Amino acid sequence: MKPLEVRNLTIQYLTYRGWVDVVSNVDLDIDDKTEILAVAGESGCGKTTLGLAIAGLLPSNARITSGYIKIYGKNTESSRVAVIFQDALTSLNPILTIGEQIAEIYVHHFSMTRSEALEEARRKLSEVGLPDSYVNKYPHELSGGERQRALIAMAIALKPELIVADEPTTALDVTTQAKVLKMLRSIVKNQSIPMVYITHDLALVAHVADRVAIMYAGQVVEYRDKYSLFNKPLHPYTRALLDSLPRVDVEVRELRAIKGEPPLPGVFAKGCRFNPRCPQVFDKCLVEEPGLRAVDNGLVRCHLYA
Amino acid sequence: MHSDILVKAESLRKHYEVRSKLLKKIVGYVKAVDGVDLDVRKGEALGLVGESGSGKSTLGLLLAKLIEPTSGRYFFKGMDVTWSSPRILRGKIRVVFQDPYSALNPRLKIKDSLIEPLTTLKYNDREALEKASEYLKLVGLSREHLEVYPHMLSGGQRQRVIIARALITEPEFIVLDEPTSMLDVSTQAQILELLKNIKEEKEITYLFITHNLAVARYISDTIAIMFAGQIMEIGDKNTIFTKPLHPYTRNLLSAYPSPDPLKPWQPELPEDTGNTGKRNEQGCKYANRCMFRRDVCFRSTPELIEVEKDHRVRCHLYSA
Amino acid sequence: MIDSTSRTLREVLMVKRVRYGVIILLSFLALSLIVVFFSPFQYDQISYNVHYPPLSPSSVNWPYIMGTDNLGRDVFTRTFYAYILDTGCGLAIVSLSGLIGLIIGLISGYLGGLVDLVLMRIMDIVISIPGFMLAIAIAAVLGSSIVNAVISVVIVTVPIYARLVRGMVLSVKESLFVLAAKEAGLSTVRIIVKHVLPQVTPIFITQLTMELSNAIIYIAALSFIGLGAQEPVPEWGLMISTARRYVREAWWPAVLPGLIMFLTVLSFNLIGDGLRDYLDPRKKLSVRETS
Repeated sequence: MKPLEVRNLTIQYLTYRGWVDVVSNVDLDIDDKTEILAVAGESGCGKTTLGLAIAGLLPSNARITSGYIKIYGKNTESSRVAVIFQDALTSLNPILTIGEQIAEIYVHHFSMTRSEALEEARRKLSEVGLPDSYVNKYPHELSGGERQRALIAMAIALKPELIVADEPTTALDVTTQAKVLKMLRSIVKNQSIPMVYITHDLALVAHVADRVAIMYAGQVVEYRDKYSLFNKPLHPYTRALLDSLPRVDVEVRELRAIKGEPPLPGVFAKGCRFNPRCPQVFDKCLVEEPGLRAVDNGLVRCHLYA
Repeated sequence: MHSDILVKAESLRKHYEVRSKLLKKIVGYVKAVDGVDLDVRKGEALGLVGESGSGKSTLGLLLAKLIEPTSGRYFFKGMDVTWSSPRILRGKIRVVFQDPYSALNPRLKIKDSLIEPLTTLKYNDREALEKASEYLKLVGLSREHLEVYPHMLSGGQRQRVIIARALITEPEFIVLDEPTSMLDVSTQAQILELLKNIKEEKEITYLFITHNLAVARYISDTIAIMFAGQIMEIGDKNTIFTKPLHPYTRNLLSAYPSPDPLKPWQPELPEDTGNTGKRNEQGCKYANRCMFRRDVCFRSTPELIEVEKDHRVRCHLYSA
Repeated sequence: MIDSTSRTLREVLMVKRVRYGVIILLSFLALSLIVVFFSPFQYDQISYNVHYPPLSPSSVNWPYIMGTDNLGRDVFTRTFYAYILDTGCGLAIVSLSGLIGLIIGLISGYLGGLVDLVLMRIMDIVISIPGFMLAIAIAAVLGSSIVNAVISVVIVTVPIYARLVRGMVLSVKESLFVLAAKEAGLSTVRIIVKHVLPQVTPIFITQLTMELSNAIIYIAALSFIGLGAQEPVPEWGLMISTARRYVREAWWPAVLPGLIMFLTVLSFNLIGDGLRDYLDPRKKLSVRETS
């Protein structure tokens, strides 16, 4: 059984304009317990909604209108998926100590006694590099990076079948971010927990993920292993995005921004959703929506490869 | 003072008082900016880089004359403007704010927000509107946008309006506080390009505040690295990136992954001693986190010393 | 600006509660105008052949639609003259204390420091005394008349608005666009008027509408105990108070004005409540943030 199988998934949200497509016909897989799949894209591309759906946390104003999500063959309600969100302050209960919050998981899900649970909690905290004494601290007493690490401890305490991490380090300083991500990656690799890593930062993707799915306007436009993707990006959007990144390691003379802006959910162009901004657009792109094609050990959604 | 130095800060300090809740007695100070010396040449873009808590935004507010320093002096075009009212500047120093979603009054039409900075200068309504259209075009928007409200625009478009609003008084110096942090990657590239073009076309001087070294590398001519209210290293951009001297600079640089999986990501991670989070008050502020710390670092504060042309560092490793 | 106001009005009227409130409001207003212009009776017209016992509100006694009181005066006419008086006083109270409270709140909130301290301490003193007691005290000092009753209620209710406005000003003050206005060189007064005030107005106006009912009740209550309107002024509280004494013989001069007053207060509550709901959950469902 695959850890994650997403087929033809379409998710709609209810807005003042009616039901709009936020995720359209998405196919994704995680084949291996040690794999980290990155879902990368800009705001409005649907990556967060996809993450919520996988975690079984879609709000009531959202609905799945096609396709399915299977975690080891089971549906999302019957699976154990841990989530790590961006802002630890709102994810953690401010009136409980860190230790109590982690222990709660053991008491509730694994029927441990309170003292056993607190012992386990201490163990989890040390796994993420936090000292024992932190068991008695409250969330607001920790720094941003420490809070995020506490969240990670809570996530792995669940012994999840899958972890969904949505921009877990965006709010952190770059030095803290490095520390937290390195730690997160080593933990999920060591404990063989597959992870869906959602982010807008392609540089992080290059070093955290194994496989990458690039999303645009609710669709997966490119889906390959990271070395292939970064070495030779196929989809014009991926290529343009990579070209428009300012760099620390090399001097960039000209940024080559993509013209136009990402579309609002539900307000898509006819044909290929990227056609208003594509530097390589041609007539077929304006009328027919390209399907996902298998190319060079991956998938691309672009007429250039039909 | 060289005639081409537009902005000069001398020993600028901004200390905020911390008072106890009950008796309102002063229990300490938050030293947001603690002794900054800075020169910015006309037409130069100075990239001020720092993480949260470094004081970079406070320094920006000081140089924009939105707040007053606790001590130190500030010169603009040779004049001491430390304690002058911002009115004196008549729009020559402007600010581009970070958050395009809250920097514009949601109840005002774009045109009203745009012409606001012109109220203190002598323009009549027609002239003001003309200028508004002119600058909207400059930032890549059109006349139609004058009549809409901010919520109808995207983040990128709103940021363009904010830039136009800053340009409309024909400033010589603009303080940009993280102008692209809240934008998408593709929008960020557009705005950065726009800012670079405007700077060159209009010969404006920038103080570009950011936490993102990559953005700083693209847009700046000079880079200043800030930590705990002080400048730790400052110099010509290429020099800083090819020959970073301060341990903090090198720490920062190592923490940035490059969008290329073949280039290894090896951040220098400071070990977790109890103290790494806190800045060191006595001596070098970076001492608690520094891999190269020695006794002297805890005893005396290093000065900002010129190590080579256009390159100064504040570190005992390089003091005589 | 005109079409955005009318669109707002149309949207507000779509709220059911507001519709009901407005229906009552308009019907009573119409009835009052009819009474003022077309009633065959004066509000203080004592019947020569004094009707004793008072005529009851039955079709037999037409045109005394609501019957007469102990002095033979038409209850219907008086009740709706009172509508104008009480609602008018309510409006006056709310406008006056709202305006004063708004100014105090704006200045106190924006300037802060000593000004804020002094103004708020004064507000605290006023608000710490139970409203009705204070109103009685002031009315007693000034003398019993409807004008003095209005003044005393104004004094008692100013702190409500001052505190509300001040609270909102404190948070709006920190908005980025206020800092941007400062950066653009605007003077303090201009910033308050152009940027702070518009953010404050919607909630402020809702509060005004809700306080209108309270103002009407205050006036009626003060008149009820004799400190407000005096005979022969047609005022609900006064009418109820007088008619109370012979309610066993004739219930209608006490109950009917009370009923109309109840419905009037209800109508303003409905409108205010609906307004408040209209302003609140509008900012939901932003799809961009959720994807």
